[in-house]
Amino acid sequence: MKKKLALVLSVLLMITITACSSGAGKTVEDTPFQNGSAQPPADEIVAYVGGTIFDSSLDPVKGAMSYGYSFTNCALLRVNPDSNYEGDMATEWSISDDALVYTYTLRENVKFSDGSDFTADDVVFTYNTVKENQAHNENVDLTKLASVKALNNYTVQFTLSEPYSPFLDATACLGIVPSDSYDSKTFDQYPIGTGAWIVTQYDSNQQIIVRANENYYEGAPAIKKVTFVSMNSEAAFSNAKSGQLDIVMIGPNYTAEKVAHMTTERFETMDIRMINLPVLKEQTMKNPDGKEIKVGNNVTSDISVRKALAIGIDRQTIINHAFNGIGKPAVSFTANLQWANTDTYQDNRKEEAAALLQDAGWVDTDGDGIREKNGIKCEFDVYAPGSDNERFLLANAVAEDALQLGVKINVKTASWDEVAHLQSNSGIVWGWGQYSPTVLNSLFNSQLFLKGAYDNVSGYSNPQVDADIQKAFTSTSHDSAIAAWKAVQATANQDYPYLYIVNIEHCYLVNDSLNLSLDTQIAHPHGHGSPIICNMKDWNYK
Amino acid sequence: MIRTKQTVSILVRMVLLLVAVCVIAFLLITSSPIDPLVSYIGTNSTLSEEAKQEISDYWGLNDPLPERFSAWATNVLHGDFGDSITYKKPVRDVIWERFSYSAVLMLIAWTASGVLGFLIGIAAGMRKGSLFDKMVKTFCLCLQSAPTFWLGLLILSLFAVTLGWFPIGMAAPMGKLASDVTLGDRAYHLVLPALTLTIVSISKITLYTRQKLIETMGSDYILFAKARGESDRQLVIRHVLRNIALPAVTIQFASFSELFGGMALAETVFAYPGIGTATTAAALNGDVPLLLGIAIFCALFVFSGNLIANILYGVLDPRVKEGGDYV
Repeated sequence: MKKKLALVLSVLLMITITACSSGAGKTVEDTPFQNGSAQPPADEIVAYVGGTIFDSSLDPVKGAMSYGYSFTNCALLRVNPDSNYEGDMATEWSISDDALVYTYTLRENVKFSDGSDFTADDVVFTYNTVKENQAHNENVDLTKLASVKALNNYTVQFTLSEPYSPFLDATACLGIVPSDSYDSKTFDQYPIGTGAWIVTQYDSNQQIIVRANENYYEGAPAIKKVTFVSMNSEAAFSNAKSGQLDIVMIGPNYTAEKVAHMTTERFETMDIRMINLPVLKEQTMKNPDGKEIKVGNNVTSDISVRKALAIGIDRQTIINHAFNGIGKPAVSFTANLQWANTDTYQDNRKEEAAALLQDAGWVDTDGDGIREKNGIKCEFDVYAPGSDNERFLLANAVAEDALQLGVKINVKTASWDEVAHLQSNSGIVWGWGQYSPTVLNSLFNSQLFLKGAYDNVSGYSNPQVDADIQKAFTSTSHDSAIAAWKAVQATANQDYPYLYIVNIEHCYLVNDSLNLSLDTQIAHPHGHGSPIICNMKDWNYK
Repeated sequence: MIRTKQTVSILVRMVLLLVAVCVIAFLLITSSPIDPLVSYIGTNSTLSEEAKQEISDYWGLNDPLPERFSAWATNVLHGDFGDSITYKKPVRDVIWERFSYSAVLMLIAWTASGVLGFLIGIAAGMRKGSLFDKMVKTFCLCLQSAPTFWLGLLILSLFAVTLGWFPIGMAAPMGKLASDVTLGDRAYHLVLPALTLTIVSISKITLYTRQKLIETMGSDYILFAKARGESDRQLVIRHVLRNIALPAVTIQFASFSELFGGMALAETVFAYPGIGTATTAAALNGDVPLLLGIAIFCALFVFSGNLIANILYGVLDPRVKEGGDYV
């Protein structure tokens, strides 16, 4: 009886709802991709690319979409699939001999999405606005820019206060806004730019709908409408299964799942996972605020422990265990970066690593499988920050492998805020990866220890490295800067302050009828999700 | 005269409450390990020291605590709650925009759970000891201890993924422009989150009503009424309803605070863009201005819930009103 009642009730409910929605003009064409039929309508797609694009303003002045993901506003330069800079709103650029003056020639006959002309004034306006409001822009650093002026309608000249080679990267990250219609209130959600896409609707934490810019200088994109949805990854995966999404970002452990009409695509990245190994002996130090902080670690401060780990762990096995085999073993930053150090070495040299530890005095005397030296166990803590399950799995796989060397790693988790208090004396699983080599300054500059929030957490200090960093910053040519950045890594990597593990790959479920133009995909920077849309203008249907 | 005095007393209490909430919330947030600079620039920032310094100076992050609090409080008094770090918009706009979504959801869930819970409670109490009563009791006790997000996930996987009857989330169909979204669309997207919230908050009121009904039915005046030959139906309508309405109203209005907590979880599961998801995002991103704004808003909201309950007491039971002390 009750079952019947429940059935009747739910049927009634269903009827009401269906009647309600169909009465409101909902036709079958409105929901064409429900339940299994993954055939999308001719020119629109729905994508889940994580929450990053919803987490910040779309206004370039306020640091929209770091690493140059902006789909609405073109910057002067952009990164090409070979990780080189190429012209976008600029056609060519030159750097003066003293490395202080950057001159850009602009592209002519480009229009903003509101119909106004793109000229040098817009560039000057954009850079001046960001410079004056640096506190609102956490992604583009213009503190070294002294002045910017328009030489004529299509030539812009930047003058720096000191030589700063990463300035080139800033010009690839900062999208240009129109000087006469810039509005700091509306641009957060509806920016006007010269990019391939125009935002037609922005629902916070729900969806961003963009349409193709018919006046885009390279020609309008083939796909006319893209909807980005915001939800958690489980809900997105469920949606993919019920056929409502065309692109879904997934973690490596979802790649074995089969979804009808969708294929798993893996993308090359410049995104590295690594663990910092504190190089200082255990001690208390004062940070610039005068607060006493426990720094250093008596186990990892021994270079033989750091080196044994680097050459002794089996990265491929670790990747198999933690990431379903997805990702490439890494002993340094990735080869797809111009400034990367490509020196490599064989890992899984278990015997050599064991001998190294033995010689350094780390011997297992009590037979528990873990080495000791002067009464200290060869063990230390490694934290997987936040609720990042992938990093937790990775830390566990590393710990398992390191145990074979007689080194015990205790895997723990901590919030990012706690990490700030643990990073100087424990290992943390970090993720880094960007075009700009400034990351090397953050990792190795001895001046930054205890100063920058997450900078030089290992407490690394090497005058040679500091000098090379300085040399790279002040280089007068792109090539000499790159040479200096390579030298920084060549020297620093010999001290193993970081245990590089894997160059991860970003995985997505992609509708079979969709072509993501793999030739024009750039190696994805850090931040799973947004990088995939960098070349969205080149996508089309098969 | 008495009225004025009461109104003033209510207002004073509210102001004191708000001040206390502000101070405590501010102290809690600033003493938490959240580094506001890091939460602003992100964990992968490679900004130069100069740029970081500019940001710190602009947001006053290096000022002493009392100075920061007074700067913030002064702005709040002028109606400026600051800008949300997460959404890069004024906190006031964020709260208002989000609350307009949540209000509908809360209102439906709150009314449905109140009315249904009250009716089911009466029905169960009248048949005390029957199979129906036992089922209701077990069901409510289970729900009472079930976490919202878990229940939400169950409902989601059954109705949205397996059966495919309802959308998996959001407040409007994907890819549909706001101007094309119909009332029907909105209702369709509200069903699952509203159902989850209703089920979650129904158990308390059901159990209280049932218990109170059983108690009242056992009292002397009911016995006397029974002796006069009144039927169960008449008994309930004439004598019991008023008595059991009081605790029901108290619980229902006091549950404003719990509704808020449940909202955060239900909205996260269903990707519903209400104040709950904003709270979660604010907490995860260390968005201090938004967290403080939401704390104040919650305090106001819960305070008004309790206030309405107190006023309704007088309506339901004039004895309370005669005493004049209904606050």
